[in-house]
Amino acid sequence: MRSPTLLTSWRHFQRHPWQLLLLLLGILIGVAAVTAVDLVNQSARESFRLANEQLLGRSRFQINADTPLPEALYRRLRTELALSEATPVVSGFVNDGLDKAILLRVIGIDPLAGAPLDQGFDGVRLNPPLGLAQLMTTRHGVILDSRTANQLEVTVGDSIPIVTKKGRQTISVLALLEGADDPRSNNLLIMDIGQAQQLLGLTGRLSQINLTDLDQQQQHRIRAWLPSGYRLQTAQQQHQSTVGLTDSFHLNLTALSFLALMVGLLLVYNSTHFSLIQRQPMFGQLRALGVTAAEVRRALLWETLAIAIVGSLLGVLVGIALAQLLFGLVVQTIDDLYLSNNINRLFISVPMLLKPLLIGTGGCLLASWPSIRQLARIPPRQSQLRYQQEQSAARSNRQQLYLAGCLLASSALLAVWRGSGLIGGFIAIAALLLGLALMTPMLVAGISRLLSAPALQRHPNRLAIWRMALRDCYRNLSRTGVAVMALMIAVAATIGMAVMIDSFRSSLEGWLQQRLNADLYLRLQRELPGQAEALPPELIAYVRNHQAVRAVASSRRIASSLNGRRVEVFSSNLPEPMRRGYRFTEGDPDTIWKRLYKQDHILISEPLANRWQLATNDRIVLQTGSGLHSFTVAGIYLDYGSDNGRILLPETRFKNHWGDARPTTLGVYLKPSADADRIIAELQQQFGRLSNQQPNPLSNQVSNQRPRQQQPLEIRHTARLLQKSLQVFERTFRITDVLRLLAMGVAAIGILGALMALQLERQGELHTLRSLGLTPLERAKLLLYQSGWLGLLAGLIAIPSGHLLAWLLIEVIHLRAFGWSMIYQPSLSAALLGLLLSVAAALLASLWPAWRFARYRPRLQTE
Amino acid sequence: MLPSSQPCLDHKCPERSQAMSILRINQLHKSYRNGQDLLPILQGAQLEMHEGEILMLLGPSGSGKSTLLNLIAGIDEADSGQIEINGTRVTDLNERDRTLFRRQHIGTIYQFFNLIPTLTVLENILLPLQLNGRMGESKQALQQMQRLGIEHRKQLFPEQLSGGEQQRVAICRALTHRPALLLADEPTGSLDLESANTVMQLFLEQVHEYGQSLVLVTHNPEITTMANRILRLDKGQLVAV
Repeated sequence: MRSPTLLTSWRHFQRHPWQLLLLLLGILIGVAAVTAVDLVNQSARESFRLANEQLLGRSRFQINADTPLPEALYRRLRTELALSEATPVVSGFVNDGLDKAILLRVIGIDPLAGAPLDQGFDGVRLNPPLGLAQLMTTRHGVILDSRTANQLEVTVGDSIPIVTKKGRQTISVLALLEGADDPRSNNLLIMDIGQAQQLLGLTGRLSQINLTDLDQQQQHRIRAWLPSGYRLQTAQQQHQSTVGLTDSFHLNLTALSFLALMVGLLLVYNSTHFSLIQRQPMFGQLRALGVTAAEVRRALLWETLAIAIVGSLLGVLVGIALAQLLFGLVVQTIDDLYLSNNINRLFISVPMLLKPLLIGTGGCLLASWPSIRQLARIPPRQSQLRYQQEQSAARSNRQQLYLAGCLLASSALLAVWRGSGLIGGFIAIAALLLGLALMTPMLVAGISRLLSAPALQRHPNRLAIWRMALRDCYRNLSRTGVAVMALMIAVAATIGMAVMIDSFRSSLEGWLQQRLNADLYLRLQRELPGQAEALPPELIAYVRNHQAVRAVASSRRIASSLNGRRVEVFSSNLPEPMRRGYRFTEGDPDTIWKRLYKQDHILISEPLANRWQLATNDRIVLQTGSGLHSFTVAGIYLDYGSDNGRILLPETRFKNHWGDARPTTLGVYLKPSADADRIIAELQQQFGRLSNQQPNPLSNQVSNQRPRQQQPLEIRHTARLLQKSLQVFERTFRITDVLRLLAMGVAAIGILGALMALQLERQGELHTLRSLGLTPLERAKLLLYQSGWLGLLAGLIAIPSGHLLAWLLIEVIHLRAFGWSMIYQPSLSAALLGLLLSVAAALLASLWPAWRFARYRPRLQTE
Repeated sequence: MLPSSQPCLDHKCPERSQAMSILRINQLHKSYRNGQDLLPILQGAQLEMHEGEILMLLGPSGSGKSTLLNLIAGIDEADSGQIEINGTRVTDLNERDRTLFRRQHIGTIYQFFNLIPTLTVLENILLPLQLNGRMGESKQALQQMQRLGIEHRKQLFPEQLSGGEQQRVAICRALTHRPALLLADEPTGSLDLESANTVMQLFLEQVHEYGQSLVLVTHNPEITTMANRILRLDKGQLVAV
């Protein structure tokens, strides 16, 4: 090694491998958290993109609507507009019937309009080659890619049982798609459109119509021609409308991963700072021998860069493993919250991995830079004096205090200023945590100094070790300060998240109890995601006329779009008991309900109002079944059901605009004397399996002759529904628990590193303590007391910090990300748990250094 | 045993006055802040030292001997006054240039050896040559190690050596690149009397052999006999003894 400075660094880490290990661990965990969350988020986005591309193939435009399109539209498009390149597509999901729990996507294409391989896969071939006639005429004949065939353990000629909306059916494998190294072909069944319509129960209807390149004029012409309710979208627009649904969710995950990274980088700063100040006398000697400040700086930057690259690379590798763990949780949450089933696998590519690698390396260099600069700038004489280091730490404390003030002020400003958006909210949180963290060492020093004085006078003998430990806390501020900061941030995040989740849970529970105020809920069992079948009229009539029933709330939910973004539209007959379950953000409920029955009035949910800055009496334009229509906001109701927003309107008005208001769910309000179990049994007996008919929004345009289907009736007790909703809620926050644990782990490593460094540095002092007669246990106590005290103070400071964080999460982040307002509830249990966690982490981290402290034997020189 | 060629102890002797000036100190002031108080250390110190001269500096603890050495070495900065070494006014140089100047022209020996603990004996000794890009002269460094009796310890780390051996390594390191001016701050202060005499004798032999100039801070009265001139720091001023 040419540079003596680099050589000394290398030798330093050879002698203290644990220091290098802890440094690498700090970087590794932080980068792993960012990598994992980034991979999961990007995979979710990639899955949405691929799902869209599966349908689009090589086409760049599509015509779609909120409900399936009539085939007649396609025929008219080809004849009236002479769009011969238009291709119809039918799609839907089926489950494999082989108990492999694989969700398969069926795509039905018109082989006469476009070959099966026109779905955009390059370099693929069909094995065996397949004639059009065979594809079109074989009942439920499918093409699937060889990987999916392997997964299902089937081959050409095999029949596969599958589960569709119509029940169990069988498909036949006609050919395999080989050489498709393309994730879009995963779990995909390609069929003839007619066969697919039959399989999926979509006879006479299409999912979308694909179009190739269209110039501006053609686009304009098509839009003008399309009947109301249909839209022409580019691939990008379609992608935005689906991916946009989960944006806030992904942003929250990203923010949490950055919290872990922030704690990690604080520890990188801490560890680098340690390893540098520990070597400060040595650098002083090098400087005295003629090594320039620039040479020291350069060598240290190379050293940090090497460690950062190794740590980040390891972090990326661990992050990939962690992503596999988080992936399941995220997919489950997205399925629960957004009813999306497009995400099926983790996507990993080199560019995806480069991002965390760069963030980790760059972050390390940035975190280390202050220490490197400071070290290189210290005059050689000073670098050899420990008291100078502590004085310099005290000076930097004053600067930290000013900086903390600025950060807290910025945080308050961003929290109040709504225009700063969600990103502004996250910056406010980062500024709050950093500001409070910067104040932590000074608070720790101040409290320790304050407490060490009376202890000195009252029990001078009994508390000698304790007093020494207290003094060490403020005397070694330059060594322990950053580790305490990191621990405080991690504990504050834990408390903050716990308080936020508790507040959220409590608000949600209250809301669910108010909203789910019927005794029973009835719907047809859903075997596939997003499936919602209309209830048969005979069931509705039976329930309505039942003598034990005092009211029935019938509802129907469909997806629509507002300003290009999806919203859920609910129609209901709104009986009085149901109306009582609604709480409004402002205004008198009676007036609002009266206003709703005025012409073209609707109710909107709070998230929708917050997202689009809507207020009562504002007008919004909605995509309805009969085209765009303007509505007036009668009131805004509290809702935690969807962050994308919901709209509620009376059944009759819904029918006018969307054509079909047949209810898909019934809320049954029983009379006080009624026996719910008896009624459930009665309903199961009479309507256990039901026939129903699919909704027909365009019945005047399309033939609607479809076979009648049999589906089980699902009757749910409100208590069970409530329990299930809360289970979904708990599942949603499980991923945050993993990330919080990571942050705590990083913080504990920081404390361990700090104490190990102290133990190494205080060998001279240990020698004196040993010769003064301190027993091994007393020496261990010295470190355990110090560590426990630091943990206790970090925990105590974290309690108000965590509550402030929770307040920001509730009042700023959740409101801006999801539009949900909730009641902030301080939590004593979260505070105590955080305190306990802090002390436990600090004590746990000090066990090994304390053991080494106790076992210390001086190195004897040989003359 | 003293070096064979005894230098002239009188700085006014004709032989000495004709030699070139290696170090000039003019009106040097330095004070340190202790809380609110300003503690003056050097108050207008003056000195002229010639090539090949061995100058011994005495004074009670806290009188400013080490401060003066640090200022000469350019490790610390003076409040006012000038220091000129070999015709270069080091007090006018910026930090970087002072460092580069120190690297080439000054060798320093400390009481506690100040060896780099992570470098071997040989690496420590070769460090000044390496920094000056003169690794071609490493053979001479090996010869010097031989003369100081530490050649067989070259692959060891400083902590594996005795105090006397460590100081010999420090001396070898200070001499290896043949600096014009050597500064030694109580080089035998942490050694027993026997080791101190042996080390000092070896050191002065080397200094004489290469005609180097030496400013030596010591409390050891036996060593004072080896100096050309003895000065004392008294109330921040250098006075002849």
